[in-house]
Amino acid sequence: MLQKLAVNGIKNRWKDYLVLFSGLVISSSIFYLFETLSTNGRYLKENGAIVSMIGYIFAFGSILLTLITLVYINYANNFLLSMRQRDYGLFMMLGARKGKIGQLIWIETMLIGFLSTVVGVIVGIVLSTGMQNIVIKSLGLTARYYAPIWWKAILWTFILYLGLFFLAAIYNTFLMTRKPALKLLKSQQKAAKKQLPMWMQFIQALIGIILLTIGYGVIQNAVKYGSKTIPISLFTITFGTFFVFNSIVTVGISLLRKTNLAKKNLNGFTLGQLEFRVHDYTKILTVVTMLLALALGAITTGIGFNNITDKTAEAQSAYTFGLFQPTSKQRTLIKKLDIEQQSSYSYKVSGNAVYFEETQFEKQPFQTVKFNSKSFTSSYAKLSVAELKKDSYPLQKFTESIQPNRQVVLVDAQKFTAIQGQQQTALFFRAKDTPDAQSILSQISNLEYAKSKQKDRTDAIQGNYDAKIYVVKPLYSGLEFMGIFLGIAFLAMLASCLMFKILSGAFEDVRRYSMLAKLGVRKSLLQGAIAKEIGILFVLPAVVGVVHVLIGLNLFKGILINPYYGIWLPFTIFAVLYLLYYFIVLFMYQRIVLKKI
Amino acid sequence: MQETIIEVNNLRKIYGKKNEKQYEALKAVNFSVKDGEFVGIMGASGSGKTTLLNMLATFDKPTSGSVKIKGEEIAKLKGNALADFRASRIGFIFQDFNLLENLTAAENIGLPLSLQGVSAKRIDAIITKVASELGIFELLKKYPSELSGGQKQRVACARALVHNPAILFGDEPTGALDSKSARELLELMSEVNKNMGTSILMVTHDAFSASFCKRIIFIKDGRIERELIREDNQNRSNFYQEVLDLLGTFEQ
Ligand SMILES: Nc1ncnc2c1ncn2[C@@H]1O[C@H](COP(=O)(O)OP(=O)(O)OP(=O)(O)O)[C@@H](O)[C@H]1O
Ligand SMILES: [Mg+2]
Repeated sequence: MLQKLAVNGIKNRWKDYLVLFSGLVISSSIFYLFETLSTNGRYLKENGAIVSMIGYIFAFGSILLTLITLVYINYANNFLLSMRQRDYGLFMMLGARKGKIGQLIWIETMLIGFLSTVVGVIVGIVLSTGMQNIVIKSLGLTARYYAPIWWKAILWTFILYLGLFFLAAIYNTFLMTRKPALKLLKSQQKAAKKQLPMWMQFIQALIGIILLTIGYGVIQNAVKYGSKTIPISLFTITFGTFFVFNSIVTVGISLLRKTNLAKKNLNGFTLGQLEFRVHDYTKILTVVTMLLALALGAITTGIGFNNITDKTAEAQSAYTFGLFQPTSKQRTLIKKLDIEQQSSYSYKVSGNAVYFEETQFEKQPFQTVKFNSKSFTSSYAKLSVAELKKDSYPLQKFTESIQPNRQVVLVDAQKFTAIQGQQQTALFFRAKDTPDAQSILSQISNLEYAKSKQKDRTDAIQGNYDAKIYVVKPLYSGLEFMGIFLGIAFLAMLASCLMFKILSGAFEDVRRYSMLAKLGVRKSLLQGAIAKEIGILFVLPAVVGVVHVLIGLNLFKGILINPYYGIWLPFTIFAVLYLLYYFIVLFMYQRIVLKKI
Repeated sequence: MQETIIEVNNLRKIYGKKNEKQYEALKAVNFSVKDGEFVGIMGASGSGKTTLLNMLATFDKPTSGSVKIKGEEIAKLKGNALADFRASRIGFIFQDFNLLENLTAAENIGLPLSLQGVSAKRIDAIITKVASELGIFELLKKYPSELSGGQKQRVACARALVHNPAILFGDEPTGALDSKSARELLELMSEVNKNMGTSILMVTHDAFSASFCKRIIFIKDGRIERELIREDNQNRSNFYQEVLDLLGTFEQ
């Protein structure tokens, strides 16, 4: 009988359960996504070779995500409890035995946990497969050894989630059987928690700021702290953020509440709502801030690797290609390109040397590249014949593919004609490396490689295009994939966190807002109040999170040269997504809360 | 001659949509309330009292018929006009108080004034005045969860009155109170009615509460069945007896 009643209770509130369930599914699927990277040692080693601390970064990322999951499940469980306390309190009032109630809540918690984890892992596998295909295809990346179905990740996801739900079930059973039935029945009429005294708030704010300063300082001097940088900064910044929110936001709201502003329209109500929930909110604000920082940081870094791929390739030489004895096919292909600079030289091969004629280099000087790491631009310099004679490496680099182990020698016109051997042409050009040009460049490259005497393609690098495709990209694309993959995963986690927290509050708010409507509050004012309340939850983490990212990017100074280059792009994309998401959540919330008004 | 504040003509309410099972909760109700009157509505459970009150207070729309408050046809009000009408003309006390638990008593009371754009300074002054009159000055800083039922209802009463509404509605305002708190609240309402001249329309179950009114309307099965008027010189306990007697005959 009691079971029937319990199941009936679930049926009546299926919408709430749907919110709870889908939130948990998203959370566990993202944890799974993260673990497919983090527990795949071979993948990390192969793709993160230039980031010596990659294993470390992921280990601590796992810890952070576990912490976030902890907060998340804590919320989910409170949500579940708030739904069920009244029902079970009522059953108890009607004479149900405590043991039976305890058993029911235990089963209910474990069942929800188990089902959502199973579904979460399945969704995770689907997501990681899709992500692998989309990210790799759309960005032309390679992620060697990445496996979407990874048993270690499955195992860890199950261990963490079932473990946490086991604890939650014990806690719930304990709570339900210990609390008097009357308290359970009245559990919805919560009172605002008393505020800490001012000096305690002040100390909290101080601790928060000190922790943040330490965290930021460690990041700025990452070289000095080496592998300790990540754990120290993660710890200090996370807790620093929490303390700052917990003190400054709390005090700020209660101060605002005392001003005259609070007596205007619904401001007082909104502030009351915020103060009422602030203890809940500081945790979620911290979590959202950290997730936002991680997501934005990961995407920015990922795109940073993309930038650096092009820029590094661009800085290899002054030419997109150096072609030897270009075939007619190559020449027709070249005609389709947007050529910025081009020069053609004659050469002869004799004995152990490749001879060029110096007058041709006087007329059309050979160029080299200079890279400015500050402005991230390449500039080109003309080499005089004397300079080239002294160090012929810039030219020699190009001849190695077709004439390996032959010295490049520049001679005057007289000597050049005297040299035995067929006169041949070398064509150097710099073309715009646009997305449209990729297939043409690739064809030219393949035709050139066909002439090469080198076995390994990486030894037949005939200019910047080859360098990009065969040297630079393989080095960075694994990291780029990782960055974008993690960015999307953290973003999804952030979205689900916010959605979950906000929607779980929405059901409580239905009554309050209908009350306000009865008092004669205009609908537009009600909508405005909701927009403000949710806006705070979006704005605060955004501001603090962006500061974290701007400082955190220093960590990548070593690999990315200038991690701040071009950050407007990921920041803008992120801002647009974030804003869009705000409007979606706002819309959903208003639909739930103002439906009957 | 007092002016009429509420005028109800042929009011009908049918619950349930066209294709569903329908129930006629109110059948052609006619009555009016004069300015400054204290009117009670009585009737058995399910007779349609709440339905009637909700329509008068603009919380629900009639199926047909008209309700005029201060000459204004309220069925025609929509959107902002409806909200503003509620905010300026009507005060409402609910059986379960309906205070906002995230606001202190003072903030709850001041809310209707904030909505009308009254300055913060004046809001404070008015709250202090109303709270002292209702004897809840000491409670102003407390949250609803820290108040007893009777205290909550007095705060709710203060909130319903701060903006000087034309009429105060109450749906069993004493329903959740013990007899002492109930009596205090009713005395309070009588005073408000007498001193401030606020018209009051109150639904109630019990004869004791009803005896505070000057006129009682009895409803049965969605129709007005009888009216009882307290004579000017009639004292309350006498009127109480009359109500009890009538209820006795009414139920047979
Ligand atoms: N939303 C509704 N849908 C359908 N029927 C309703 C609805 N609300 C009320 N009724 C019906 O209308 C009738 C009158 O209800 P109402 O709530 O007005 O009674 P009441 O006189 O206030 O009773 P009580 O003294 O118990 O509060 C009842 O028979 C009730 O079942
Ligand atoms: Mg009723």
